[in-house]
Amino acid sequence: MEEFVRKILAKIGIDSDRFVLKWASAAEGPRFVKLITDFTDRIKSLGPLREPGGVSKDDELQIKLLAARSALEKAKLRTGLGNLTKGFRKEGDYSDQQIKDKVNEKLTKSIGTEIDRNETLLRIQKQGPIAIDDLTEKIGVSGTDVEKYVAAFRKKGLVVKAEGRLSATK
Amino acid sequence: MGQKFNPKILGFMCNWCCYAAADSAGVARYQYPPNVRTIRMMCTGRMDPLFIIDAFCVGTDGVFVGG
Repeated sequence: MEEFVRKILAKIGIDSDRFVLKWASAAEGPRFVKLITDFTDRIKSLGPLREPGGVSKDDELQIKLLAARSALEKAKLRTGLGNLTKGFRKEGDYSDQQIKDKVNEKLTKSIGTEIDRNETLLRIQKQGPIAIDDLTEKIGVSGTDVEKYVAAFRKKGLVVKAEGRLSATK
Repeated sequence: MGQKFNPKILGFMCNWCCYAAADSAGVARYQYPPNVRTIRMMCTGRMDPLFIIDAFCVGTDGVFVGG
């Protein structure tokens, strides 16, 4: 899961060092203190994630985060991760390298497309009516990919096109 | 402003391991930075990638998961 989350954070432009998963047993108070101190120092050196003033609904980071959120709620990435862990169990290999390789091989691509797809819909809902070129520029992926996502949304009736601009239905 | 940056860190901790470790560190009076807001969970196996994304959504600067 650690590697999976790191990939997602990297995809939406958050330094993956902002997330850490560590182990300390109940008897390891001093180790815990060291882990927390190191992590706090690391975050301090990375600086604040957002501008002072905190969370605003429309900032770019928030849209990316919400896109990742809706991508994670859906079955595709969750089953992907579940199937991956099944594979580790079968082979009995849980080394960091193995996990890294497998996540790279099996999930990186679908993490990318799922988040982009959800971001496309989210932006049409929030910022529509919007021209497809603006959409492509903001998401920062190739136009053909965005067109593909939009075509699927139009087919499902989630998005309509009027005067060359896209808006969400309802 | 010139204020020192005080990061907001969210800590998810297992009741039986890291949370107990935090407790014992407190009892033994070890000093550690007060930036971590702790959420105690019964097992880190309950962790879900969504929780971490949610944490960043509501404005934390870092997420620490301790098992």
